[in-house]
Amino acid sequence: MHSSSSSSSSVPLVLPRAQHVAFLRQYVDREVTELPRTFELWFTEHKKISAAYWTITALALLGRLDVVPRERLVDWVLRCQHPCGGFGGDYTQDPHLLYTLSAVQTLYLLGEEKRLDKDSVLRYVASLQQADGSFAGDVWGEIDTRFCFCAALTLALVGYPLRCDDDCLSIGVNTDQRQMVRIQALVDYVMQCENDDGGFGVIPGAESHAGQVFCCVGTLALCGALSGLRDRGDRLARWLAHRQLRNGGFNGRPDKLPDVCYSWWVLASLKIIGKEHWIDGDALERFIFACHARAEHGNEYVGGVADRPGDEPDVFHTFFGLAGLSLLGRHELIPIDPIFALPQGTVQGTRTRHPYEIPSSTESTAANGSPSQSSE
Amino acid sequence: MHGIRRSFVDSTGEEDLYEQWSTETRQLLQQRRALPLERFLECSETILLRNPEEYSLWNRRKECLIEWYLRSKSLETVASGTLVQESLRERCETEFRVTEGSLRQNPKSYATWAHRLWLLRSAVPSTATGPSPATIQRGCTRPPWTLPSDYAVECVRRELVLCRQLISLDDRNFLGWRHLVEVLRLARNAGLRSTNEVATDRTDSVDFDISFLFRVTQEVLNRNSCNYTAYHYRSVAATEPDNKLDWSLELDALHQAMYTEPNDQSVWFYYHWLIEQLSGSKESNGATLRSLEAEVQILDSLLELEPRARWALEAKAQLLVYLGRYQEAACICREQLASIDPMRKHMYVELADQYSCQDREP
Ligand SMILES: [Zn+2]
Repeated sequence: MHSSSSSSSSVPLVLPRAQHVAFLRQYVDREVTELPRTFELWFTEHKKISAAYWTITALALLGRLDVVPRERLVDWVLRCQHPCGGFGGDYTQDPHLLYTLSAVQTLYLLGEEKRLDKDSVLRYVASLQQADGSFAGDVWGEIDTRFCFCAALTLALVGYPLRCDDDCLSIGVNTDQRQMVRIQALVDYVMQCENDDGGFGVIPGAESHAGQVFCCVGTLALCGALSGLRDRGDRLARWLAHRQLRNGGFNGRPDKLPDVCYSWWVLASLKIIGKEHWIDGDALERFIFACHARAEHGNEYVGGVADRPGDEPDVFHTFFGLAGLSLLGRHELIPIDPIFALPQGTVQGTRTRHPYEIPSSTESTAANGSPSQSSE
Repeated sequence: MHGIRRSFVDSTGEEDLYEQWSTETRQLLQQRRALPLERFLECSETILLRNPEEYSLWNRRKECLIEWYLRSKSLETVASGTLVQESLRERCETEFRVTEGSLRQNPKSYATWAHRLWLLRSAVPSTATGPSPATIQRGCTRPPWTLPSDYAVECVRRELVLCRQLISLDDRNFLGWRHLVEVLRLARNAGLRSTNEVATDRTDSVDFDISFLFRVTQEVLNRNSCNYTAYHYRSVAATEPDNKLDWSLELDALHQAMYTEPNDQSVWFYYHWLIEQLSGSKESNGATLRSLEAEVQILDSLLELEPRARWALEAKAQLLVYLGRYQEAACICREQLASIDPMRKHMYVELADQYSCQDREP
């Protein structure tokens, strides 16, 4: 299938599944205690649990969760939990919301959520909400809209009702803890981070950034509050659509270089607000393929995706590249959920408990139009 | 990993280095609560300069400061009170020095900026009755002490100077800009005022208010008029109550930039923002309409030179919407933008449909 003789521009867009699986297996086959021998592994030691989540979700999208050493992985993830309920990036690290979400996502993906002490996770998340509705990343009070999303998604996964209406109560989490998180305050805070260009920043008044946009839109969707977006989401969708550059890739902010990870942040955000047809999917697909790692001589794909063409592949961008292709519905990848960032099948149950809505945009519901509430 | 070119050369030496570095980091993490304070501070500095994202080490440094402070406080007598204050200052200075060193190497390190901001929160007097020492030791969103106001002023000043400097090195560094905004808010909450009166050189003065944010954006835009971040913060600063923005001057400067850089979207973003302010201004309706019409004419002359300038076309469509000329706006989207910018043709067609619908509504 691989035409190694052709020039780089004419390499066919055939997903190198086996090569990707082999690339990802390098990460799961290591013992977690093994010392890193690459810059990537050394630099991500403190967030090993997120790296694990990226790796196994990428494998799940390829339909190859079977290669994951499940027992060993779950034991290690559970070892990263602290008495306060939060998880560290490794068992040697302090608890943090970023890693708590990665841990919870990992356990759900592996279908091992029974082993999770959900009440302790809920208590931890709730303890980090601030007076203004925002969430700190940990006890030391760093504020960032990323943590609002980590909190909201973690809560959604463990079954905490994020919507004000009362039909979501029978969740199985102790009802006396139900009031611990102030959902409206969270929504109000996120809306304070909305900018005049339609995007969202790290804190109120901070510049729009596609990563933060994803976090804010995801939070609003989980809380059923997307209807508060300016111009019913059109302003944001426009800002997002303009992130696509001539070569098909997306940047995270105007006048920046394209990067594969924004395939996810931008496209997932567009999908959540029902505007994924505002960009050019074919061009994006070509860009993601251009970022696939190639052999030194010849053009064949060796597995792994980099941030940009010609860069070193890593597990982070491999996940986001595959997730982008999955959102585009190409190459028979397992469909990924744009909010939960997990295979749709994994979150189906959770999803029905948290129906999220998209502001009904004009009449133009084309064939690829809005994935509305009809899924409930 | 970002921006690391693919290399096919053998890197055996490097591999050993990463192993060694990780061994050291892991050892320190394991011993972090057992090591004597000074020893830990020393060892963690080396490791954090290599990888500033080792957040648990920054956390432990905070714990060390708190433990030291609570211990000193409990032993404090009237006579030793000033000594505690002096050592506190020294210890804070160490943190500022280490974080500054780290930021100069890694200006995008979230954990480092967060560590600095945590220290700075002690510039604001604490109003609430603090939690118990036992709770504080497990972590707190601000240090349990309050900096004396003269020192707080010094800290804020240094912070603003550092942000300005890092922004001049990378004028899109969003964490640097964010920090600048946070520090200005913090100074306002703490009621701190700069002591610039003594400064002789005005370009060196640092004001603890919104005028400083304006000034930094101006410095950046003077070097290059295409900077989305600077325009964004200008638009944010302009909505503050004590802003000093001259709208017509802003528009004039933009008109220039639009002609020299018709394809740069940052300029157009700010233009969109300005005309939105203009269209919603409290001026008399007639005056507003006349200004908007004048802007359409300016765009028309630009479009005569550059008929396919898509940002100018988008801006013109927006202006026409404000003027209630929906069909013309729809026409620009459907007839021109959809073919000039085919990647987003569905967007333009949808927008055109919307404008046409609005026209039918009263
Ligand atoms: Zn990236």
